[in-house]
Amino acid sequence: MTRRGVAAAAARYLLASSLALGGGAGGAGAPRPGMEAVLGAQAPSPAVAFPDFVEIPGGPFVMGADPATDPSAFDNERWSPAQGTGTVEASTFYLARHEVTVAQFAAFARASSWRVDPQALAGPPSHPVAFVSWPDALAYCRWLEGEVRRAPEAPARVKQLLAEGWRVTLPTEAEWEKGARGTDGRRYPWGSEPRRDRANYENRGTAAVGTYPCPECPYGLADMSGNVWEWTGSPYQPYPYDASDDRANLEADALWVMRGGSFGDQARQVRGSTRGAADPGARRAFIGFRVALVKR
Amino acid sequence: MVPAIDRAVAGLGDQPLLARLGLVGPLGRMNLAHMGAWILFFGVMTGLARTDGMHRGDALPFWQQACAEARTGACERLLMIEGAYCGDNVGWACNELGRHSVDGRLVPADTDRALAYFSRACETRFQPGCVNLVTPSAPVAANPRALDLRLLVREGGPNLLDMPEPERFARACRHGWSFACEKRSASR
Repeated sequence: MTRRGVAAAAARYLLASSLALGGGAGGAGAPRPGMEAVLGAQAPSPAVAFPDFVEIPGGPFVMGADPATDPSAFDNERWSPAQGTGTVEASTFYLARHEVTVAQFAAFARASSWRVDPQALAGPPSHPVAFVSWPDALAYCRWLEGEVRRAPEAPARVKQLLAEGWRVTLPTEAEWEKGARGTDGRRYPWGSEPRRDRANYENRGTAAVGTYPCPECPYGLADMSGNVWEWTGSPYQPYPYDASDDRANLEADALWVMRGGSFGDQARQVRGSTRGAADPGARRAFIGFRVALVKR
Repeated sequence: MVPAIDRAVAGLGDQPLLARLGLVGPLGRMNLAHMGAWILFFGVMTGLARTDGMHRGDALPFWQQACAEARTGACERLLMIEGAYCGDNVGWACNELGRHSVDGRLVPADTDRALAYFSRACETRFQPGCVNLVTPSAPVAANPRALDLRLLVREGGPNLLDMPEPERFARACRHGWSFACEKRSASR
């Protein structure tokens, strides 16, 4: 099997495994008020049309995990044959505090001519949207960017950043991982051990975004672990991660990275460094997304 | 072939046998003779499974070249063929249509339309379509995949899913896809 074949097999395993589990619900709580820079006009609330963007400061962070020292790590998280993890430099960017909700996606579906899977709009309004393909997620980002530019009530700071050349899009997998793990290489957003009171996993379905409090999370982002897998703007490539190779391997079948695991996964799959991947046309009950504000 | 059959039927007009059969003379009877000749021709060709087959009008590279040389109607024909293949989920064709909608040479530039084509290409797992969704202003291209060739070189016949890839590439090479000639050579 080729290197890419192994990677694809690992990704298929992760996809399959996310369907496999059931179990009891975790704890619940109110969304955590932000202690960090927030660009949203309103207090954190998952139902508002405009996302509540949280600043992730620029700087290096530890990416990947070494199966030799972390038994929960998958082989595709290892940085290279010679190195277990890598250090990646990320510029400052903003990540939405919450996953995009059904209500937010419904607003997009109503306002645009984009054809969406009716199942995407069938969930409770405050739950993360699912049944969205990768192009659906990008179409939402483009629409949202246009809305922020147009709407007078959109947060002024976000408008200003867009005027300065920033874009609303999907985070790269490096950006996503930094948002989830911070800079210290922790396994989960809250620390080194799995906690069912911190994320929606080993469960039967999605929870309203922000249901699980995470005071220990590095940037106060909600549901970076569990609830739904989140599409990223990175094609699936073997590590070491290199953002400049996103336009390489054009002849290979498309496979795009998703992160964070879902409600149906085990603790191992909802770690901050776990790499899932899926066919960009996949619309599944356990795949959603969150948006980022980036300059590139 | 068509003019040849027509000439052959017209040339039969003074044959005594046909005259005795009442197939020559008034105009209506000549038409009947024409129809009979065509029915016979298609009957034989269908019986021999020869109604489909490789001809230049089937080959995308032929129309790409003709369009690049500004031949009359070639670009319209190219767009029509690519549209039909995109409708059949040939990711390569959808990506090409998206690129046309970005560069604005064959069709008016239309970013929304381009994004719709790139999305369709991406959902068929054609990676350039996905990459172009991220950066539509500088679209990339790639050769058709073996999966796309199952339709692009079917020559009017059924989907070629069961045809081994080397054979598919060999056929694509005959259609003028130079990359396929290289792949065929590499697989030998």
